[in-house]
Amino acid sequence: MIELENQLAAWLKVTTPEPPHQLGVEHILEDRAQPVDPRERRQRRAWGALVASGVVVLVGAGAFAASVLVHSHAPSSGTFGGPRAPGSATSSSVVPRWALTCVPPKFGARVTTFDGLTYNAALSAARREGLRIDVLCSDGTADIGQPPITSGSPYVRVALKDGRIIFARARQHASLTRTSPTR
Amino acid sequence: MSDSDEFAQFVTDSGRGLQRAAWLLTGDWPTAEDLVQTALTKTWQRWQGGGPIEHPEAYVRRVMVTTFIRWRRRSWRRELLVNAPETAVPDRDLGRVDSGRAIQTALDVLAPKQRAIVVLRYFVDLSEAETASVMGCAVGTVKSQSAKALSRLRHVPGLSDVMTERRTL
Repeated sequence: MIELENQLAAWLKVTTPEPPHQLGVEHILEDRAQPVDPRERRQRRAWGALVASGVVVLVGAGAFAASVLVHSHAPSSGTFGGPRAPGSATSSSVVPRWALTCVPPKFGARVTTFDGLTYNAALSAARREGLRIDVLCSDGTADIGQPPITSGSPYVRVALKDGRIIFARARQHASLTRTSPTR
Repeated sequence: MSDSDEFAQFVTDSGRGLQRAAWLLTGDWPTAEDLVQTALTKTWQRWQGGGPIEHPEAYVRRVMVTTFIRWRRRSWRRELLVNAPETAVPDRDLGRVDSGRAIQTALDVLAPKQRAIVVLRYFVDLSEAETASVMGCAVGTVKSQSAKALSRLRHVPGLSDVMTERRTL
């Protein structure tokens, strides 16, 4: 029995993996100040983790309001597909408050916009620019409160304003995985 | 240093260990993060009310365990799996799966309380008395549930081989 206990203790310590990212204390304090729908928590954490990891954040604003997160080796300034200047989206009411807590200068990420692009157009534009898209989602009211498709999955379900739903993997270095043609 | 600064420091210092323990309890990172966040949120509530807690990590562990057991008691989960990505059929022979999955496959044979006791006793390295305090039960219960858990684990195919190899992720 003692041998099994010792083996188990050693095995658990050695093989239990490290967490993928640090849990942001800002989410906890905010959670307490204003209780958050548990279904929304994961999207917040995903945003925080992605941005804290140094990715470039492209936040959409306007009628379509799409967000695209790409790797930090993406072009560090300028916009593509939209008339807004980098950072202009931060003043938009479309961008949720918790997303603003993640954007520069806090983590050194950059904000630009994808104004007016449909999902496919944004994807094509990013590919033309040679960028790898990690997560593409709506950043506006459309995605607030939308549950992830499963409590045990790293995927989040994001509803776009044109009625489509994107299943995206909200994790660092993850790739866009699938889309659903209808809501 | 303000309350929130102290709490932030506490989260920074202990978050990693709490998340690893939560992963052992829940079996996946998103749920583990939910569990830790829930426990820390409740701890912060207490922290704000009465100032810094004497043993905050023990307090968080207690909340984590009770929350975990409460979640597992529910007959349904908050969200149901609609379309599982990357589904994998669990392999019962631990010699043929990676060590992360091996841990979860082994722990899945345990009841929630037994699982919590195993995590507290053998991962967190708490004594039987400390484990009983966290679990809110008698020391005798910890002893008996530990013995039952170990007995169940002993019968998991391939577990002893995997533990002896101590493969890392």
